[in-house]
Amino acid sequence: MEDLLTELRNSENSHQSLHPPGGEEPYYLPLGDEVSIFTQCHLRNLAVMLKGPTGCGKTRFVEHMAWRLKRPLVIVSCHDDLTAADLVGRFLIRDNATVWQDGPLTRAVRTGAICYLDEVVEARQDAVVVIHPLTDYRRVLPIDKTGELIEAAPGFQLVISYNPGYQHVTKDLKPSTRQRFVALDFDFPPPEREVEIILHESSAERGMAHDLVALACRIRGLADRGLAEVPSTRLLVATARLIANGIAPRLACHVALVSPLSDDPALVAAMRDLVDATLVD
Amino acid sequence: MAEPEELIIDAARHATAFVSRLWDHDNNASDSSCTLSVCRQRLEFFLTAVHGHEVPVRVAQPPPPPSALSRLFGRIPQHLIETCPLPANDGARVFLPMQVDLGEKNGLSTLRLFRLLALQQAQRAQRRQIQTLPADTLALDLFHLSEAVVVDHVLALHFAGLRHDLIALRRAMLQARPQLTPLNEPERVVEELYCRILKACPDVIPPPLALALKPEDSLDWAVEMGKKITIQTETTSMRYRGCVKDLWLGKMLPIPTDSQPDRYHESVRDLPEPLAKPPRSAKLPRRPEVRERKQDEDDEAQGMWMVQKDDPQQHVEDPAGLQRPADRDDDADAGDLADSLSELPEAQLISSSKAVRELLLADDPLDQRTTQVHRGKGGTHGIAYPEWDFRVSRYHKESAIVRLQPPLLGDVAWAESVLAQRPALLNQVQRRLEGLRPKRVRHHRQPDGDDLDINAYVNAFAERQAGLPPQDRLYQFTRAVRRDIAVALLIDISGSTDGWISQELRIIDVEKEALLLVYLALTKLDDPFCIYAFSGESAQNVSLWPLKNFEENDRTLVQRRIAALEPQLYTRAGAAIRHITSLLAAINSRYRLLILLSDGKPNDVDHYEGRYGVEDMRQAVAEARLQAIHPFCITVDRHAPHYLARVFGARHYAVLRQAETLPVVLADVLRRLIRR
Repeated sequence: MEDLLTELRNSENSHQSLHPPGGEEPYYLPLGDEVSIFTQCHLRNLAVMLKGPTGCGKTRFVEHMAWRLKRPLVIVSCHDDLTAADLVGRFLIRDNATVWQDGPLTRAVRTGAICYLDEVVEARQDAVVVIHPLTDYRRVLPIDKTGELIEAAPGFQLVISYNPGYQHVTKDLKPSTRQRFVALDFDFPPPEREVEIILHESSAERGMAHDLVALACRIRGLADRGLAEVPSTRLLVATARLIANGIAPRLACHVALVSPLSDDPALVAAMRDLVDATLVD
Repeated sequence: MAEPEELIIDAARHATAFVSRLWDHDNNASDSSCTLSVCRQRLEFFLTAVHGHEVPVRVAQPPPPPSALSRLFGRIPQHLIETCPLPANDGARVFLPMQVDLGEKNGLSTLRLFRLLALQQAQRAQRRQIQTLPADTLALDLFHLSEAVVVDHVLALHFAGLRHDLIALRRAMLQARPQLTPLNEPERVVEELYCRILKACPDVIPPPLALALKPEDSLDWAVEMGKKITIQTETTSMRYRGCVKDLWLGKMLPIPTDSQPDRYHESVRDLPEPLAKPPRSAKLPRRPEVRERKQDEDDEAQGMWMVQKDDPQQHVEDPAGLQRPADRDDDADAGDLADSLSELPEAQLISSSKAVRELLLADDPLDQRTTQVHRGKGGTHGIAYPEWDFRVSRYHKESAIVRLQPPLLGDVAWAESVLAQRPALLNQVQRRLEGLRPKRVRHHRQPDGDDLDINAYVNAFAERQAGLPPQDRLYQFTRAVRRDIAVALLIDISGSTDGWISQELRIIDVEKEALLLVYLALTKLDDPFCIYAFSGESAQNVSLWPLKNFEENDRTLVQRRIAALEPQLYTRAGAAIRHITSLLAAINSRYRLLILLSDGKPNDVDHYEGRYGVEDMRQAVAEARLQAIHPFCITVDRHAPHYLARVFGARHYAVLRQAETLPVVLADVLRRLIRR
């Protein structure tokens, strides 16, 4: 029990320590007008929805924007069992009494932070509905259990993200939820930009970065032949880091680029063929 | 009675066919561990990734054997006669030999060789925009050489990993080039150029060749060079006959035209009659090329007849001798026919609705369907679903048509009598499914939850006061155990369900009983479910009888429909599964279950049998899985494990040892799947 209480105190303290991100600027290479649009949305109190495939830079973009706008950032990774209480908060027991503990969303609303709900379609419906009053002109968060109605502090912004190609058929955002957001579409960057990103993130050689991007573009052509997920920029960066640290290029591609993508023997074999044809050790 | 000459000729024909097959068998028994059929899918994926679009890989057909006359009088020199299939492309597809081998000493494994040849041909196919090629053999060969060099150059630049393989292939081909002695002057010039190319590195273009950015440049160069060679060697007045083509150069096939087979119209009395015997089948060693029909090929008007005036008339039944011996002979060996057909360089393609007598199976099947199917048997409008052709790894051009038939209504008393006769069975089925009714459950003593669990807290407090270790499970939450599930039952009522499994029960009777009992049990669960029966004949008439839609709730009506089920025709399972998949996909449930009750392998009147049927069913099941539907199969076919494991996956099918247990097993399967 003591451990639990210590943990609670720590977590409670952590909400006061919500502060704007400092330090170095998170690296993000803009591909269009997303930075200016996001900035305008922030100023006009509009919620933003980021759509795009896994590993194309959605989370990095939000971190970058939080740094740029000098707002604290609260990230919640949504999952199957995420309930409204997980977002809003719940009563906990401490010293033989009950204490209200704010959830991440409530903390963000009180402090005027950017709240980023990652993969929001994974969350249960009741959890998604909680964000409705925050995303229209009211900008309030009603908490049933305490009877509180919290008005969002200036600077609060809700950002959600999801991957349209990956989600479960039965899971989708309700139309009434969708209409509350400004949608920004993300995709993998064009080859030259992707090379720049790999060079910045991995300190690999330029030629190798070019080869990796060419390889990824070819593998992405297999998307509709049974490959559920195509290689993302994040996967390329991971591969480039292995290569930059001395792992042989073909081996690095096999373990970091090809194997994670599929278990289908024919697909994996074809991708390995492609790696062997494109790269030399 | 057969004449003695006929008997001798027949015996000689059979003997020759037997010996030649024996010879082929011994000679073709080389290592078959890495043939094209093993790695074709892998190569297709590889080419798709490289080119961004699908590039089908097909089996290259061996060249037709030269006839005795062409050998005697033809002007084809010995060294130019092709003996084995060569890689080729027709602008869209890549053709590779079934087996390739360069030997270990060249350091190029079979798989790497296949990969390289496929990539070369696909790259050359991509550059083939020129429709009209030079008619002159010399210019054509030079054009072909120039294109091959440019493609190798491009590959060496973009696929650094292939450079060594390219060099190894060129070296191996160089060793097998012909001697210069039997060649004439212009052939020698081309052969020297050929060898110079093979000696060079792939990223270097040896002079007098130049880097042709577009195929037109290659063509210009080839025409120019051809003229030069002709002028140089004019004194010898020798004609250029061609150069020896090998794995590296391959062949350039004409770009295919999208022509349909000519329809052969039968008169009404010729309409298909059921065959007494199943068609004979044999392997076709080589498929003739499809030939376009010429304008005046089949004259409508009859010409002159040549009447044999000798007495007596020997062949009364066929005075004009228009029938092949095999046409008359129902017992003719299909292997002989296959051998004869494979010797033809090309043949015209005809589609007919007549019953098939012989099936000759080639490595590289045709794209078009040659069986005409009579429309109009199903009165209702159909829904078209694609059908998977495993032989070419893609969907068939012509789709299967599903026709929804109005279900017949049977006797009301049937259901009552079944229920009266088998109360124990109904009880068993209901008990198995009873525990699945949805309810709201409160989960106590949770480490995390929406509310405090006061009881847990009081206990924890008391225990703490008593000095016991602290408890951290102090919360509770309430969740409705809503399964959110939709179930579709698909019942095979093909002709084979007419089989008797006991003194008084046929398979269809057991299926009907099982359906009735499970239907009654499922209605109590409030989960949406539907029941469909399927059968049909040919791709045009896949019949589906809706016994219960997702919305329907009329118990008597459904019972009467089940009562009316009787064995029908064939089992084209793929189309039926696709239709049910589309119905399930429209239902907004979290877990969707498709249960197929079957009694054997899928089969139909046409080619839909054996591996074709199984592969189409496998594809239909894979499509269902992609749409988050869980397929499961219950079958009474004891041989099912051989193919169902591939179709549905391990643990996704059940084989009934005793068909009578179907109702209970179905209930068990439902309970297991719903609980999951």
